[in-house]
Amino acid sequence: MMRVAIIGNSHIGAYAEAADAIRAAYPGLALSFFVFPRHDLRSGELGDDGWLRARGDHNSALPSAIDLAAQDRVIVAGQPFAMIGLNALLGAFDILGWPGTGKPRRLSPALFADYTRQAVNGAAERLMRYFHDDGEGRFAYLPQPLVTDLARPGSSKMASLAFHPAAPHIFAQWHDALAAAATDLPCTIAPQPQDLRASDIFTPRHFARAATLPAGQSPAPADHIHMSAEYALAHFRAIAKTWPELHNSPERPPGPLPIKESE
Amino acid sequence: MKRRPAAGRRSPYQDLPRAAFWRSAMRAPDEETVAALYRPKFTLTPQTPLMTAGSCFAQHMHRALTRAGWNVLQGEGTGRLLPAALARDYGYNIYSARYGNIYTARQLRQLVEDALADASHPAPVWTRDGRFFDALRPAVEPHGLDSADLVQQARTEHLACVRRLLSQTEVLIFTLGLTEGWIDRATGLALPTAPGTVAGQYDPDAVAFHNFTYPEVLADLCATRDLLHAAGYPLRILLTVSPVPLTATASGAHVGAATTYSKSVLRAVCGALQAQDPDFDYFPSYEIITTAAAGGPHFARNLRDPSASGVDTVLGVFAMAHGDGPAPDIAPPPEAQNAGKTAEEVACEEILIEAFRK
Repeated sequence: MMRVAIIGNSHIGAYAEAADAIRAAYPGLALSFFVFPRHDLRSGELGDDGWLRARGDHNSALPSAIDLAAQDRVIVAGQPFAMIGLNALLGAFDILGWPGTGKPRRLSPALFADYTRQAVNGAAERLMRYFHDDGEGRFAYLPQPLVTDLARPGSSKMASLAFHPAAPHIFAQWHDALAAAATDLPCTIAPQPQDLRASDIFTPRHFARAATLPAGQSPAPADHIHMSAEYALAHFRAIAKTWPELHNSPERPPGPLPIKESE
Repeated sequence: MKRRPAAGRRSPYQDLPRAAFWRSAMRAPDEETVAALYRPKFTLTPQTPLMTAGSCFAQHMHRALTRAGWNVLQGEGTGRLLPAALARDYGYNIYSARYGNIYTARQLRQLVEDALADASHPAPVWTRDGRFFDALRPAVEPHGLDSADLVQQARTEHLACVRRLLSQTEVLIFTLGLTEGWIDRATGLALPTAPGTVAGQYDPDAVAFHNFTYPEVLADLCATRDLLHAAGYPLRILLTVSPVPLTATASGAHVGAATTYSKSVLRAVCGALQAQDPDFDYFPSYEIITTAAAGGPHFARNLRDPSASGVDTVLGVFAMAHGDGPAPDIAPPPEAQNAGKTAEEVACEEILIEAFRK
């Protein structure tokens, strides 16, 4: 039995909804979950005993601790990887030569690229330090999924950047920085697969959580930031392909997803 | 045998303070003599809006004053949005704006002219490996920009920041660094460095070496002040001279002699302006670092860069003079503790002056 933990922030909801489908596809796999109560690493504490515990108040319906030492693989989902810093930077400056928002001051593209690389690298290093990750690949870090083009600008840091006039430049740099950090550190960063992207900026609309909910049950405003179980299953499959210990057991068709797509 | 003044003889030196005498001021400086190094003309408080610019040493001034809580303006910074080291690599937060090192009085005059002009003059653009650099501040973009047009756009935004900064400044602390420089023949503009150093290609037909003279430096500083006042910005200028020697000279002279010439001209201009012009004052960074007047010389092991303790002493003298800090710790140089007479003392007639000291 291979033990896999999926931990992180609100983005693990999609993986939790896909859990049965994942278990059906990979019968030799034991899945467990943990949510950081306030969505960032500081709201959890990894003890010397290998247990990750929630700090402070947390939702009693969610697991308050998980034994990471007992896991063969750990997926850390929904990581912003410098999106917060990039958003703040582009809130103050435009970039020379790129489409802008009319700000009076602009940074050079070279500086923006250097910043993005450093910030992404720093975020990856912080994750690895937090989890005592030795870089051997037991931990896989998932960047936040790209939003769909129905997301409301400003509804998340990534959504703000997705609708920035220079978004193609910004996201190209960000994807490059993720790839560079994965190679240079090295750090197992599992990027959003190409077949789950509409572009370098957006996820196809039908993968949005909002698209899976019946009319009237959609969060208000409709959630085009978090993805569906279908998305999570597909992403999990992409990650699992990189795990050699799974190659000896043939993959089965996944079980039914809990919520049928409305589209 | 020690000579003593005859009874009843008077000397103009006899009533002077201890700071007026080499033995007391330089061999055994103390709080009183160090305080006498700088008698400011301008009243500064920690709230006075200050602007920094100048040669490399001005970076120390900017950092030390900022850390000590003086109101050093930042007109083109990045706040905390960028890591400090990265921002510095791109010329941010080093001075009050992103103009890079301003070594000569002519560069300062050009900057102020351009900042106050309705339209900035096109600046020379250098290239390196297909990238484009602003020749008037080539180091602020270490990788250059994509095109000459972007260089001009960046320059225009920079000058707008400088203009805003000038409008907010009460006192400009300007550190004079060099008299030697390079002139772009096509535009007549003074460059911060020779082409070929950071970017560009050295071409004697395109640039000319120039060693600024006392009258030129004086005229440039006065013109800078006049420009600012004419624009309605009543700034006063606190001059300093960088104690950092020339790295190299293109004058044909020995670098030591060239350094002495450069620093002498700059220091003499400062002295003249301090004495005669109410808009200028002089702060003795040069003397604090290079002499024993404040426990120095304060150089790092390479005998070129000021030591950290020296920079602290500079700040201490500044703060003490403006009533915002205690006297800096003054460690007398080891030789000052030697009571024995040197051959020079024995032979020097100036010992008589010391003998008249009260």
